[in-house]
Amino acid sequence: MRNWIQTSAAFVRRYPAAWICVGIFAAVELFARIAPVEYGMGAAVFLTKHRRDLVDASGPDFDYIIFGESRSLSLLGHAPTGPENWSVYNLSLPAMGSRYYSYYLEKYLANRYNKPSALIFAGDMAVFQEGWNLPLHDPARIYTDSREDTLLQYLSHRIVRRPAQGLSPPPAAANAPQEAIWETYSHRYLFLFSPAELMHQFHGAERLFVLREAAPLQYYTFRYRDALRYFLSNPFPQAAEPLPAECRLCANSYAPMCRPDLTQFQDNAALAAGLDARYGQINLGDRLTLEQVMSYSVIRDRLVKDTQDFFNRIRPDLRPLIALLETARRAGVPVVLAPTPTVREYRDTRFYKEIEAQLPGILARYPEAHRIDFAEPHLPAERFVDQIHYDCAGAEQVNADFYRTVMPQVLRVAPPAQGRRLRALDSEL
Amino acid sequence: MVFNSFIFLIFFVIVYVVYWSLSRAPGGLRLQNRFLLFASYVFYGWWDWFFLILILISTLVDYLMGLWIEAAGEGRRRRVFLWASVAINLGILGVFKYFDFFAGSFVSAARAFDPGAFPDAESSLFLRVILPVGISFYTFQSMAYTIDVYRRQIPAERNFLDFALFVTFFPQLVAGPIERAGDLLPQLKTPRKFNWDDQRNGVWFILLGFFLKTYVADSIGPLVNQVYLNGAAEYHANPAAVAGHGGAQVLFASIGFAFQIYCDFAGYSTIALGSASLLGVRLTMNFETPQFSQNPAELWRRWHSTLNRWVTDYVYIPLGGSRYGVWNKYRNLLLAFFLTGLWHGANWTFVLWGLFMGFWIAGYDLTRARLPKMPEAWPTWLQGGVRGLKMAAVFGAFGISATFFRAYDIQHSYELWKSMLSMPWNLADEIRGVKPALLYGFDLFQKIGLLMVLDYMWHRKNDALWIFKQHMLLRAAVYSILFYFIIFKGSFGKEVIYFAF
Repeated sequence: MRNWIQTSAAFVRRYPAAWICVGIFAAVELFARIAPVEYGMGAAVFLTKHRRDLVDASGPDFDYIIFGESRSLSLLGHAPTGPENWSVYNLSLPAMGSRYYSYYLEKYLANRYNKPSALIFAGDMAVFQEGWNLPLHDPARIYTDSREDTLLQYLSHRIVRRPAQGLSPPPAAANAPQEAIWETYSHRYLFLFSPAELMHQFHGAERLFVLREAAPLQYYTFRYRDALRYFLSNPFPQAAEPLPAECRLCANSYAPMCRPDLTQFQDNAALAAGLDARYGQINLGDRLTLEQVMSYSVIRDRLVKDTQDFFNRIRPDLRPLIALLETARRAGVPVVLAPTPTVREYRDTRFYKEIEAQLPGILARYPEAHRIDFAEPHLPAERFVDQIHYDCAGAEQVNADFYRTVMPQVLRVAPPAQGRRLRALDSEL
Repeated sequence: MVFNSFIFLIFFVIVYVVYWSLSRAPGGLRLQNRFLLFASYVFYGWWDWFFLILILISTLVDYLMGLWIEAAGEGRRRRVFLWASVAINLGILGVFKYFDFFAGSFVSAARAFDPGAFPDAESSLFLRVILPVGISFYTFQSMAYTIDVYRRQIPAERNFLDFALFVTFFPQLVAGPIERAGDLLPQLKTPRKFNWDDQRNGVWFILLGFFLKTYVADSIGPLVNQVYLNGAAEYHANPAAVAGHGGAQVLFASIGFAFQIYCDFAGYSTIALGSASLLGVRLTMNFETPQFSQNPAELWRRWHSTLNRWVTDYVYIPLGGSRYGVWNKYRNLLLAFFLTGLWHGANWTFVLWGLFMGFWIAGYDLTRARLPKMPEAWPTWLQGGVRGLKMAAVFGAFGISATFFRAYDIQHSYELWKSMLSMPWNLADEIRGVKPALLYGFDLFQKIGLLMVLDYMWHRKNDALWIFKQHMLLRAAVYSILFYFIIFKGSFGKEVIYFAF
């Protein structure tokens, strides 16, 4: 040991330049760990980090939380003000698949003193498609029978099954879509959960895969390298001017004065302010440029047809929903299924029909779960900018419907315990 | 497993710790070598363990042939064993790398005469097998051993496991450098002492290699692909996409590709060099600032020198080299470069590329005596300027050869040449989504600026380890800048282009 220390000390003395370099990057690492560098990241990562900070915090406790996907992000939250002394916070995250919901709920509850009166699941049922639920390390399931396979099973399959494939190339095409999804969206998983949490969520070879992906991100200089690079070129970011009040009107959605050219920092700062003010809401459709919206509108019919075909091909896999219902049951949190309205043309596709056929059976097993539909569960394609996200008018319509039709029923089936408590306190005072 | 991945980092840390821990144990060298062999098999098997069978076959064949050649003394049997080794090695290479190419060429030729020939060739004639990673590298290295034994340049290796380690030593297994048995085997059989200078050199080479691969090569790639497309699948889906590019853009993209493949391959080779150095083994430098070559012959001494050395030793010289007259010399040269081209890939574009190189060097060889010498009276700056122009012209011409090397087929090459030769070039406009030529060229230049500075220092000092002779603060600055580019701008996990060879 003494020898080793002496040798190391000699090494430090011998190569001072290397240690200067190590010192510089240690300082950068420290900066990345203590400064709010996420403001220099892309909006997708920033949103995930914003959610993580909120979910990891010990408060506030919301009466109702919304889970979902990118479209359900459009639902406005509700601040506990006036006679309606209950809160709704929209915790939806875009493009995260469906497996994370139950862990997301566990994560939220872990630090909260008061559990929510209900979890409103507002995501599109399309998140429960089979393809989003494949083992990440082996999406083509060549060596994996199920996600629960142990590492030993996976390794033995790799050895035993390999000769049967012979010398032909593996079916790479079968892996491609899932790999592309992981390539594009994995940062959301990896930025939302810690390695310890991922360790708990995944099993066998898949756990090894996810931890391998997560490990480099524990080096924060690498994790936030885009942001650090951004701050190197913009060391003193300026806050953006607030938007004029007219910009709240849908008619002005694409008016130049409502579309200032924001830096990454300004965009994220505005995003954070909006999320805080609207209790987690952001309509992603409003972030598209007029050019993007115009191009989508030109090919709208074709997109709708293609998506219809897609929904006629794919199959549902409701296991992640059942996992969420199980977690919620264990935690004593009622679940309300209130999927946000989709494009009307998708209603009669095989996928949605199968979902509709399977849901009653599942809900019968979980009587504490409720299904509450929007008054208009489907909207014309014109209300969507890209077949997924609402345009401004679509988002307004859906929010009006949500607070007119859905929330009153939610309040009835799962009254706001915390709100009641607060009102009781008010009357005592 | 690729060097530029997180899994390799974990793998290497484990190997490093265990390897040096074993050096102090009784029988340390033996244990180290067995462990390195095991690690090398894990390294290769991580990609696909099934193809370890091929490596084992190559290893076993050359091990036995080496012993039998040595035992055969004089006479015909020696030659029989040698040819058996060559036939088996080339047979494996032929089946896995070239069968479909030759079969396809044969079918195309037959259909040129009779369009109905071999109607079901696609389903019945082609093998469509996986190309095992690094097969050309380890096959050439292993085969060269047998030839060296046959030539009595080295004794046959008696320890099978040591020989197996020579064939599979993981730092250079999948992308070279192609080592001579006379250089590598003795190192593997000698106790390796932990040496701080080796560690220092190793870390420098790894840092440099990662910079070349993860930053320069992988950031030039997307720019080059704007002209050359993202892959064969994209090209075959829409062959018209390669036509109509601006001539200047094609030229810049081709030179960009020369830098990309240099940094991709040299980066990987340099990491190999560094990894081996950390394990106390010295490998051959595969690339030495090729962009500073003043003629094509010098370029090929600096570019993939271990392959060039292999082809010279085992093809060019046995064919007679330059010993039997001028025309035989150029025939041998062209044959050697034809094989170099074919070694790179089973496609006529590689053959054309090899011939392009062969003719270029032959042309240079024919004319160099007649080229005027630079007057010594010229001022230094002028001489430097002329040398710089020669370097730019040589590497520019090498870059133009990408129109063969990087092309998906002959038609693609033709389209690229057609674009380059359509004059006058449109320098002002964006063409097919590629920026105006000068802006596009500037984007490429930005990526290679630091590389040029570093390589210039290496070239000027004629020392790959020049950095260690600089002031401490300059060293610290260079390390920090390289690290910055790797961590902040590098791409990780991308394949190495030469894996396909």
